[in-house]
Amino acid sequence: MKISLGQYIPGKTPVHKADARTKFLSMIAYMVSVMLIETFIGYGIAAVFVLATYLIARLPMKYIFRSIRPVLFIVIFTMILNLFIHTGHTVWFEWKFIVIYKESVFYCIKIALRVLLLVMGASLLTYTTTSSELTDGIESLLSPLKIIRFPAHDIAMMMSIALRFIPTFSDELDRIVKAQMARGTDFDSKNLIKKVKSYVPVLIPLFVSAWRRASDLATAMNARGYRGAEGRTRYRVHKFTYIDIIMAIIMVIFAGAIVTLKILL
Amino acid sequence: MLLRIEHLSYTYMKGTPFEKKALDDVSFEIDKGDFVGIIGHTGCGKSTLVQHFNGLLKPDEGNIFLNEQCINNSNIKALRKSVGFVFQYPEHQLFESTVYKDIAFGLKNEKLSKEEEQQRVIQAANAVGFDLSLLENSIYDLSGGQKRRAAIAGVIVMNPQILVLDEPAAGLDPLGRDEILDFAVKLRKEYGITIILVSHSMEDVAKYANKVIVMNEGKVEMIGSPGKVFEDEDRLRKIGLGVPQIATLFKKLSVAYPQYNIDREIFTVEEATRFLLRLLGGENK
Repeated sequence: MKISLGQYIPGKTPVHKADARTKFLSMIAYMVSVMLIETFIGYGIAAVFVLATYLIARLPMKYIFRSIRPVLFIVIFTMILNLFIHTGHTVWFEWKFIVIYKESVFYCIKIALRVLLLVMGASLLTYTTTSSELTDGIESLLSPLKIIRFPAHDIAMMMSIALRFIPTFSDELDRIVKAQMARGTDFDSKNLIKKVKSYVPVLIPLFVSAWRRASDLATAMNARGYRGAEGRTRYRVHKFTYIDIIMAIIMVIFAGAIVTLKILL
Repeated sequence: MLLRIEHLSYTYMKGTPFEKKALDDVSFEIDKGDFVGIIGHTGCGKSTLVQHFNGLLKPDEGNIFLNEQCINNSNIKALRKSVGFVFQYPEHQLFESTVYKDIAFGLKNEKLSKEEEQQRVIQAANAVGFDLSLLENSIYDLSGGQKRRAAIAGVIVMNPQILVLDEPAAGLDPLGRDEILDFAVKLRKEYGITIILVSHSMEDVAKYANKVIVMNEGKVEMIGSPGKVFEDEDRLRKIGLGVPQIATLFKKLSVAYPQYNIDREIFTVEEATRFLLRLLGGENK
C-alpha cells in the first residue's frame, strides 16, 4: 500500500514552485502577523489572504477543513470554557451563576479565529512543499548557525531520514497488524487492558524491524562514503526565482498592513 | 465450492489524489483441495486480492462466499479462523520470548487445555519440518529458514481450511524454497487443506498448482489449468510474464518431432526427465 508522505498535494502552481525557504519564512511572517492581530478587520484581511493563497495553489476547499479538523475540538472546547471564565463590562446574558459578557463573546471568537488561521497557514506550507524540499530549506536557513558549531546538516539529515521512514514503517505496521489479525489478535476489544496488550505483538516486531533497518541504513551510508556535511554537494540545487521575489513582496505588504492596522486602531 | 469471489472491486486511498484501483470486477471459484497459483507481476493486485480472503481488506464492491456463506462484518472472525494467512517474510511477525509461545499465540482465544495446546503446537511444528528441540529457544537465535518455518507453524496451528501463502519462498535459497513448497503439498495431501500460492515464479506455480489465476492490472487475465494457461504464451508475454522454460522447450519439440507424440502438459524438469526416459527406454527395446 502507498501512503502519502506528509500531506503534500502535488501541483504546479506558483505556490508549489516557490522555494521552500521563501515559503518557510513567509509562513513565520504570517504567523507572527496573525498573533499581532486584535481586530475583526485584521482577521478579515488575514482570512482573505490565506483563502486567496489556497485558491492560487488550486487546493480544493475540502483541504482547508481537513487541516483544521484535528484542532476543531480543542478550539470549540476552549471557546466554551473562555465564554464562562473571561470577564468584561457589558452583561449580555445572566442566569443564576452564569454570566456572559459581550467582551468575552468577542474574545472567544477572536481566539478561535486566531488558532484556525494559524493552522490553515501552517497546513498551506505542508500541502504545497514536499518534506525533502522542506528539510533542505531548513538546513539552508540554519546553516549560518554553523559558525557557532550548530550541526545544521546533521539535524536536517536526521529529519529527512525520519520523514523518509514514516511511510516505510507505516507499511510495516500495516503488515504486522494484518499478520497478527490473521493469527487471531483482536484489536477491537472494548477492554482497555486487553486492547493495550493486543499491541504488544505489533510493537515488538516493529521495534526489531526499526533496529534492523537503522543498522542497514548506517552500513549503506558508510559504504557509499557518507561522512557528514563536509565537502558534500547537492543533487537538487534550490534557486530563488522571480516567484520568490513576488511572494516576499506580497508577504511584506501583508505584514505591513497588519502592523499599520495595529498602530492605527 | 469452497471459496467463491463475485465481482470484487477495491480501491486504495479512495477520495484522495493518490487513489488507485487495485482490483476491478474480479470473479472466480476455488474448490476444496485445490492448489491454486495466483500469478502476476508486481502491483497487479494479487496481494490485495488474497487479503480479501480472510477479511483483512473489505471489498468496495462484490461478495466473497466461504462454504456458500456470504462473508460480511458479522462472521469475519469465523473467516479468519478458516483461512490461514502467511504473509511475505512471515518471520518479521514473530515476537514471543520462545518459539513454542509464538506458535501457540493464535490458540490463545481457543481456551484449550495445556495438553491439547502442546499437541497442536507439536503437530504444526512437525508439519513444517521444524526441529522440535528448538521449541524452547528464543526466536532471535534461529536461522532464517527455521524462523520462517516457525512463523508458518504459527499460522497452521489454527487448523485452517484454506492456507494462503504470499510469496512464501521470497529470500530463501533454492533448497529452502523447495522445502517450504513441499510442506504445502504435504499439508494438502495429509490434511486436505486448500492451498493458495501467490507467486511470480512460473516454475513454482507450474510445479505445484492444479489451477492458475493470472492477474493483470487488477483484473483476472486468464484462469485454468497450468496446461491451458501456458498454451497462450504470447498473451502471457504481453503482460510481462513468461512460461516455464521446459514448457517452451516441449512445445518446440512437439512441433519439430510430431512423430513422438510429445506431451504438451510438461512444465517441470522432473516430468520432462520422466517423459524423456520413457521415450528413450521405449526406443532401446
